[in-house]
Amino acid sequence: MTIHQRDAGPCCGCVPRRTFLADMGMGFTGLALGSLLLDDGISRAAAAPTGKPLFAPKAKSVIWVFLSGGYSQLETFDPKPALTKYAGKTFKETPFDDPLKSPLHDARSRSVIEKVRDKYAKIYPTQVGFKKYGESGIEVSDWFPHVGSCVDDISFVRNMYTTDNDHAAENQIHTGRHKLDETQPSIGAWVTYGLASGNGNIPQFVVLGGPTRPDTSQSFESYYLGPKYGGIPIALDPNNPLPYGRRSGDILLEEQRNEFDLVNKLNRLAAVEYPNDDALSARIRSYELAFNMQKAVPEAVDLAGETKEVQQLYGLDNSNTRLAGRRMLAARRMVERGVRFVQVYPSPYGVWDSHKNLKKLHAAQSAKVDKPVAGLLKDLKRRGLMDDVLVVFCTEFGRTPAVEERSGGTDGRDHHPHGFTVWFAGAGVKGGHVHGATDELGFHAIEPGHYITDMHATVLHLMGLDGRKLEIPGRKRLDVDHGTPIRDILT
Amino acid sequence: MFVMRRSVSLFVLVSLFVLVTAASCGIAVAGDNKTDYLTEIKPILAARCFSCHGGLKQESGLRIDTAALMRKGGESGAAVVPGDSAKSPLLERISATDENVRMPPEGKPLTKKQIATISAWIKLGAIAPADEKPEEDASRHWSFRKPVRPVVPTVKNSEWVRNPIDAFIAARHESFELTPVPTATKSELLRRVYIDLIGLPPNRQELRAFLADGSPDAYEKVVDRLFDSPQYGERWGRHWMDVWRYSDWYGRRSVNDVRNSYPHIWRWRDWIIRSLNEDKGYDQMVREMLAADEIAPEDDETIAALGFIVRNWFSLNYDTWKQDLVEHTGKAFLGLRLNCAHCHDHKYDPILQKEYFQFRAFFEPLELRHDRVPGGVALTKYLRYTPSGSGALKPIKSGLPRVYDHYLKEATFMYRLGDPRDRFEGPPVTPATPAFLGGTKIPSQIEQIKLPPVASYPGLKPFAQRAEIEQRERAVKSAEAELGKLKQPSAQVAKLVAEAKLAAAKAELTAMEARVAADNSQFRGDPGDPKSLAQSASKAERQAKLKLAQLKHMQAQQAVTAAGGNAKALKKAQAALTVANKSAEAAKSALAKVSADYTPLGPKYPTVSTGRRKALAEWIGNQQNPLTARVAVNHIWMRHFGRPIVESVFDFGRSGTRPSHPELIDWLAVEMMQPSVAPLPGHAWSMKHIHRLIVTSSAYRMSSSTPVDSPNLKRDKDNRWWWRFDRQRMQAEVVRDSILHVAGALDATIGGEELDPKLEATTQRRSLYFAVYPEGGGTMKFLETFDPADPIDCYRRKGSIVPQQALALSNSQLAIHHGRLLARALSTEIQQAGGDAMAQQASFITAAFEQILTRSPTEIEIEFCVAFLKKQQELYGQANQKTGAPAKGVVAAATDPQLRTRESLVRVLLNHNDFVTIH
Repeated sequence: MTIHQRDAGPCCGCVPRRTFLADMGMGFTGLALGSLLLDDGISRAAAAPTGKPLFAPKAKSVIWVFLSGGYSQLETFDPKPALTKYAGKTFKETPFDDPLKSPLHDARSRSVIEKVRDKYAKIYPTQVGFKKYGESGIEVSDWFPHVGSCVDDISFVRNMYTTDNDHAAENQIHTGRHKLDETQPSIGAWVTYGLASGNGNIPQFVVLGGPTRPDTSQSFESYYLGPKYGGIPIALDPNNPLPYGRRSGDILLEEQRNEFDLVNKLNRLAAVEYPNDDALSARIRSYELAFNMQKAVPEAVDLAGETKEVQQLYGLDNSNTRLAGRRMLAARRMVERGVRFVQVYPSPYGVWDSHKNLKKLHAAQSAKVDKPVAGLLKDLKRRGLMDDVLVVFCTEFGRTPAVEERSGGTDGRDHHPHGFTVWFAGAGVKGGHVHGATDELGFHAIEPGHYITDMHATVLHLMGLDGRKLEIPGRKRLDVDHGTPIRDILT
Repeated sequence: MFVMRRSVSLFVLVSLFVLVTAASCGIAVAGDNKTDYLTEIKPILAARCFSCHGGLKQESGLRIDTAALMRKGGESGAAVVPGDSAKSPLLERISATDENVRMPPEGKPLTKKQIATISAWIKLGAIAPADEKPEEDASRHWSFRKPVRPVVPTVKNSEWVRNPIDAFIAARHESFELTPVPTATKSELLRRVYIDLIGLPPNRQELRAFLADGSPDAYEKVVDRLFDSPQYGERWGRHWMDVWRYSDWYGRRSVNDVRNSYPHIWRWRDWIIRSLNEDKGYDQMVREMLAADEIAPEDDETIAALGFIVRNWFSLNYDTWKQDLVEHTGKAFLGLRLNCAHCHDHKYDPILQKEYFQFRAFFEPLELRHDRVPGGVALTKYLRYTPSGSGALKPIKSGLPRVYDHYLKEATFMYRLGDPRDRFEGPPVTPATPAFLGGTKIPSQIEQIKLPPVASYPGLKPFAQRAEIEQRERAVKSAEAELGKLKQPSAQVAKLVAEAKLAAAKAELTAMEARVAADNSQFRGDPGDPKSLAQSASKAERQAKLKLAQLKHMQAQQAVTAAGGNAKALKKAQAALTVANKSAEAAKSALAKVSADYTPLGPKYPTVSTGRRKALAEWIGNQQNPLTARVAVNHIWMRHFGRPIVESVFDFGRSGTRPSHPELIDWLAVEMMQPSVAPLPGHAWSMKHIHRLIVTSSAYRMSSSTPVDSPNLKRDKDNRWWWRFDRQRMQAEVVRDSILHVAGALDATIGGEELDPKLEATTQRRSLYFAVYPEGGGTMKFLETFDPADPIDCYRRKGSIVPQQALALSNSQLAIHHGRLLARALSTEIQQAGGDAMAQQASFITAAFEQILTRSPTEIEIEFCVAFLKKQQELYGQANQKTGAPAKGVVAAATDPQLRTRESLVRVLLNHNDFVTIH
């Protein structure tokens, strides 16, 4: 749970930084509580992160769009004419190096199950046409015409890789760690942990359309950072958007207002007696925020007030695009209200996972998300929000350039951690730009490829943060956890 | 392997440099140089070099943890030549471009800026303070030496000292000129100790009884009673479940797929509660959790303790299982981050990578199984996950999940950088405990254990045999009934079939009795010749098979008759008849064989266990182990006082924090192992003994409030030296349980299968009985905002304060519903007592404060509440106020306006800071 306080209290299982300070004879127990105080300017000195960016940020908020199941790089944003040219041939029969023999192959894939995944070598042709869009002339597949029309605002990163060859990669792209490794907090949690609140009346890390399944909730969990930095799933129902956010029907608003007033009056009596009790001050403030939150959150998810034109822009007028459209529109409303990190799932769990029948599945799924996502970009742009908001569009891995032949398959692609495309748009990011590439066959990320935590580093950098400076003593993070910002895409 | 690479590079070093031996130089006057050694140089070296060239290790005999040691150098001479950076091998090595030469050998090279800074410092004479102290030798680290009972200090404030804990605390008070605050009020103290020991506040009656008890030992009597309450085991059970990372099964619970932990692990939770209530020794608890199957192989109640190992099970990958076991055995019991040595030698503690794998080897033979429990169904072997299979591993509905040594000869190989695919060449490692902790000096002899027959063959357990026989007796009865029910005269065929069925059931029963008799003579020493009994069992089983085949044959014939003119049915029936014929023939001829083979009653497992885990458990639960008791008492102390003595609760190593009260933690550790202070517990390692010393100390009884002008605030604002009690926020489970408890609704049932978190609002059991696992749906919603245990690991809880807590306390079904019921109950009580309306109002306010906050209200609080009640009543009286339906599962608001105002007041008090705070 999150509400942007810097709580320097000892977190579950970690050695809090204040311990280290205390070792130098500067104990800080008195500061253990919180950022509520911090927001009030009562105390700002001691907690781990200051709540302020370390350097001038380019972005104030992030909208992180995740498509579950693994969309094919080859049928979306990474055109590979060689696949059509050598369709039906094996890798060995092409003039190119066999990607299955590359040392990158084993280095960049680890199976959770003690069994190696089948390898496929027969090339499957691209299933859709590509067109050039915009002034930049970047090619996008015909399944994404609306996103295509926005390419001049987008930086594509075509050389991403991950290491899990199964769907736990969905959590991995958010936490940076393979399922077999120690669990880590998610990128959204780090951002929330690093930055103070943009608005006290609304959670700072919001999840829309998720978790898509209980086991994917790890993708927005905060783990050792503490529950308040985790993502809060919000339902797009103004009547009941967040847990306990609604009064019982038989309690009047005024009645509860009076109750909250008395709670704080009684608490203030104690505060006079114990002026040193920071927890008490935080508690008093929390009741003021709670009362406001009950109003602010339902208002934020109430899309009825949006104009018809805006609703159409996101595809709310069409049953095929409505679900994704509502989520993308709500995402915009969230960042307008100061939410730091919005994690949006426009598609249900695993729907991009096209082991068979790729053409039909991908065509159907892109038709549901293309317009809403493009709608968001266009809407942000005309409202001037592209200067403040970073949009990230991603999936857990790509798909194999070869056809998946498991149980006689002829028309699908298997999981592919070795190379895939994601894109960034908005604050601090170049438009009309392509960064990196996969090899001629669209197999391996090259030049030399970005592990997924480079996305995290890029996000943190644009938010004015540095993951290395957010370290929690006692919690070992590795270089690979931090990644490096993809500087080439930055303005 | 990199150890090899290291020595090669050393050789290169020797041949590369002509070393300057005469590194004599005077210590120049510090102050005028631009580089400050202590702030600019030493931190770089400490971070990157000390782990191999300092107190922990001295690769090539070189230490560089002081400037003097750098000048002295190692096997190849001085590392630093003051004033001459070009001749200083240290600089040469850190700036080398050849990776085989460059130091440090792992990670990124030092930055150019860092190298330049070091170079400048050397050029200026490598100046350092004259009194610079080298790092302590790793083996001398405080927690690596066996604790010796410290002398209890004599203090001036002797009347404050109730037991030695106070003496250690008072000694610090005196050295820092602090004055302990007075004792808490009686009501504060009562509430504190209730919540602390049983996780629930006292009710009004208990409060009043305590306030009325003027005897000098009134408090001690309460403490005794609380220790005798089974709720003590529930409260402290939840604490230890945090440390031992209790989790119900998960993986993909949404699709009913078990991947982590295992169904029915709640039996381990119940074992924890039971063991604490019995005050089982901590050492024994540790031994049972690691090796119950080897030390108590016949005792299923104890075997449930193996839940500690089962919880870490991961169906997809056993490497992960063992990694987690090493990590959490290290953190929970030893306060060591053994996991740091997974990929390389430990950077802070003297643990080699090899020792990491030697530790893992204790767990190498493990496999999971579950055994039948009384009343449960017969179990086959648990299903190993098969990637090619259906994928899902459905939870098993009954049984005791446990582990046993299955892969008796399984070797443990070392591998590189945490990737098991990348094995080191060379022989496997054998189990051993880290040498620096006494290694073999602490008894840890590994001896193979011969298991009693019931352990390797659970089908021998009398309850299992009885269940099997009874099941067949029931079949006989039912066949008899069926035969009896046949209408007379009935079809001849039907009668024959019914008779055959009875004969088959009887033969089954006879066979089972014979199998049991044969088992009992072979494995349990029952009278009779095992061989001939086995032959009889074998024969009886074949006889039963024949009877069954005959029954099938008869049924097939019946089907043929019944098929009549239906060609399709007839064809099918005839085919079945042919098969039945053949089986009957086969069964008949099999009858003639002489054999002693018969089917056992369930799976058989190895008859021996390696004894590895027993050895490990004995090494950990041993008075000679310097860490075990210290780590345990630190956890206990933290949960009483809100803060530990050693902040880094799972890291007592050199990178952890030092104890604030080193003598106190050692005294507590020794006192736990060798009790000396009355009342003596009667056995070593008693946790109740330590709890009792703590809660009866003066330190524990101090008030939590501070006079504004207290000079203590200037000297120790953060209360590091415990001159007052620290306020704490109730833990998540305590918040929920307390609401139920003050409303008189708590269901006190102890133990049993985990409950669905979805039932949290309607099931009034204590929170620790609801399922908890690290996946969506694995947390009770109400608990979520109050920092519940993270089942991934939770050596220490947080106590945050967030607005969502306010929402949960005001809008949840739990708070509203039970708040209303409480208001009504108190109202009725007050009314029965009589008095005028004004007096009743005041009595209600007082009663609500006592019941919810364990104290009476002050005059001004009564005044505020009276005004509030009036205001709310006016509000309800306004005609335009229309209310809707109550939330789901909530009793509707009272229609009587006065009662409704009281319901409202109860809600306010549940939201009072004093309700969720322990003063």
